Amino acid sequence: MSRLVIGISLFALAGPVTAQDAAAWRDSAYRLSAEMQRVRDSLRQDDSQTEEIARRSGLVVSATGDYRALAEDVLDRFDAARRRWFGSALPSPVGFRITLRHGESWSIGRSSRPQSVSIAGLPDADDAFRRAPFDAEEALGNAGKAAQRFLGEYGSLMMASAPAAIRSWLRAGLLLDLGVESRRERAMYSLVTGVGKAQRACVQGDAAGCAHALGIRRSGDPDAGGEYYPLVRADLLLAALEQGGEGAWSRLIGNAGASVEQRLAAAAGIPVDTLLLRWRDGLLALQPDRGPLDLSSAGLILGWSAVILAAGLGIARWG
Amino acid sequence: MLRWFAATALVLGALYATFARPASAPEEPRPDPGAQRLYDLSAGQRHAIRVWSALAARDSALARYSTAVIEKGQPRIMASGFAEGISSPEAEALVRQRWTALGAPDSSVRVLVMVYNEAEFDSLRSQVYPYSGALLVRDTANDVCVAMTPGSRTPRGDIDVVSSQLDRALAPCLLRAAFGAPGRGVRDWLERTRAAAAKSNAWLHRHPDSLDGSGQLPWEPMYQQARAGRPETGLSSLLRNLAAFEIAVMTAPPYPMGSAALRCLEGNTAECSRTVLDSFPLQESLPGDLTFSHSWELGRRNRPDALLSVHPIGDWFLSDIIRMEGRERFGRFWKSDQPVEAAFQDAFGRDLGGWTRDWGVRQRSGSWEARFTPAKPVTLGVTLAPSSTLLTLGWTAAALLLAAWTARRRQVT
Repeated sequence: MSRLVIGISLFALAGPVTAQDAAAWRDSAYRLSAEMQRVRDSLRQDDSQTEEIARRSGLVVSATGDYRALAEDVLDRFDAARRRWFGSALPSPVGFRITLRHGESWSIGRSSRPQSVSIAGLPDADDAFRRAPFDAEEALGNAGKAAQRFLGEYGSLMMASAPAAIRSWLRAGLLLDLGVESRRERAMYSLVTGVGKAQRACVQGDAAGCAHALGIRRSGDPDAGGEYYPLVRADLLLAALEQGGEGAWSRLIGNAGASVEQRLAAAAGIPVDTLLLRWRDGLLALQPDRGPLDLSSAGLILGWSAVILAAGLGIARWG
Repeated sequence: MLRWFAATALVLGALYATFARPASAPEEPRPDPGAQRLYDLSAGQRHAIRVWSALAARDSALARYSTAVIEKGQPRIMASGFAEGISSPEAEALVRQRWTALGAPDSSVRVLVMVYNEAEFDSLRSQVYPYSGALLVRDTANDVCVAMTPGSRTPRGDIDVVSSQLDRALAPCLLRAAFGAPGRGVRDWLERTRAAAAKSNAWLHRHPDSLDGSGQLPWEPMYQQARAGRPETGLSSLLRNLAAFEIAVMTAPPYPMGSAALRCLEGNTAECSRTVLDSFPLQESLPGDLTFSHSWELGRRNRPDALLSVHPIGDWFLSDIIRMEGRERFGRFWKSDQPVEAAFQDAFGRDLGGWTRDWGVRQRSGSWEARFTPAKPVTLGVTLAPSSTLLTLGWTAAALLLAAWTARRRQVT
């Protein structure tokens, strides 16, 4: 009996809560789900339509969605940069394709806005070299960044077609992901701060010391010391390719059985000692000509210190 | 006033000098409108599912209770939305364990434990936890408490529940079972706060000296401290590299607990009482007889008023009162018809605000964040001695001069 009374009481209590209707909220949840699906489908349809944007001298760029606007600029930048070192050489006679992509966000459900931009080297056959890394959106945020990423991937493809002797000597690849200025600056600091005997000799202008410190030609001196970082080797190789101009890459990878020294000389078109000294002169020219701290920076530091102190001294107070 | 002008001029000057420098940071990317629309829809959908599950569970509980046979002093466990005869061994074991620890329950309270099928709410693939909590009904012949939690069918054929969820849902019912129906004062307070402080059963099995709360802050954080925008550009990148954000969060006062809690920890006992007594604005979508869920479950996080509003006190607060003051005295407090503050004073001989502050300090000292702060539970206002100004500026200038002098002497080749 008491259960019946309680049950009736409970239902009576539930009555006034008319706005708190489970069915209404269920319908709302389903309506929102349908709307989400519609928006998601719309975005996917827009993004899944990869469109060819431009062609330049055997290269084709295609893009989806937001990247269509900057694809042509990316292609121009990429083509200009790769010609600086590789001329018109391709990693494979059947072409290549590099696709950079991003856009899967789990915070809004499944993959929502996949975006991609790709550059293909014709003929782009089915067995062409392909790379499709997944990037953060920020890595492709503008044409300059995207071109740099393409260049890094292109360097990896080119190295895959290089002789084993070059790959083994280079150790860490061409590191084209780094910008030219950044790479050269790091190489300069490595060069001038090396403490080994051969490294110091290289800085002083001794080509034999440079050859030893770069792992090109061994010195007979047991106290010659260590070698430079792999990045310095990459910088030298790129300098040789730049020096050699059109055809440098072909000369680098041709002549099966040649040593690294012979390949570098062939690529640059000059004796390797001359290459080493020119490369060394180029790096030393990058040394900074002023101290790391200028007057405006010092003023800024003092200014901010004063601001923080002023704030700490009770401009505002809790409670 | 002069100091304000000077400080403002100094700040503006420093900002101008910093941001007017020639090296410009890349423009911050704008949020994609399509993705933002999806995010907003997803938030709305998840909220709708949570409210829908709570209301549907409530309706189901009311219907079930009217026909169920519930013996006095014994909880009844029921499955709703599953095939006949299926049970949840996990839920039964937990309820049995808690009831055994309870000792002699108050026979005037009826308790129903309802495990409802969550499959319907999972059909939208929203990865939302459906509602888990208690239905507390007053003004009936006997007090009614229904603990509700979602369950799912396992390949073994029984029902799987999340034990920690069920334990939290059970807590208000166990308090009623142990101490009877609450007096008017406590009852009103529990309703106002949706029993936010009554979600732990640690008083049944943990030693009084042990610290409960698993290192959480004693008042529920209602917003997250986070970097705004994307960290990859310009000044924000510099701050990230310096770990300035992490350092600031770890050493700053625990703002996410809200200003009332900070003042309480600083020693303002009136604010301490307020954090216990003041109800947080009720969730309009849910009836008042359902207990409070985590704020994040019902979209209460990151509201504009989160810093200034009173945050729910740690859900183990009542459990800690029992552990520290004993069941007998707590029983007097629980049954009192006086307002909560007076009932607290009568039962424990202490002011509610003072007791709460001691509790908060103890909890704060045991929280994870406190490891990075000084011995005081919270430090507000000025902490810098005036003499430090000259010292700091002097040492900064000395460091700059030393750096410049060293750089000038360095020879590369």
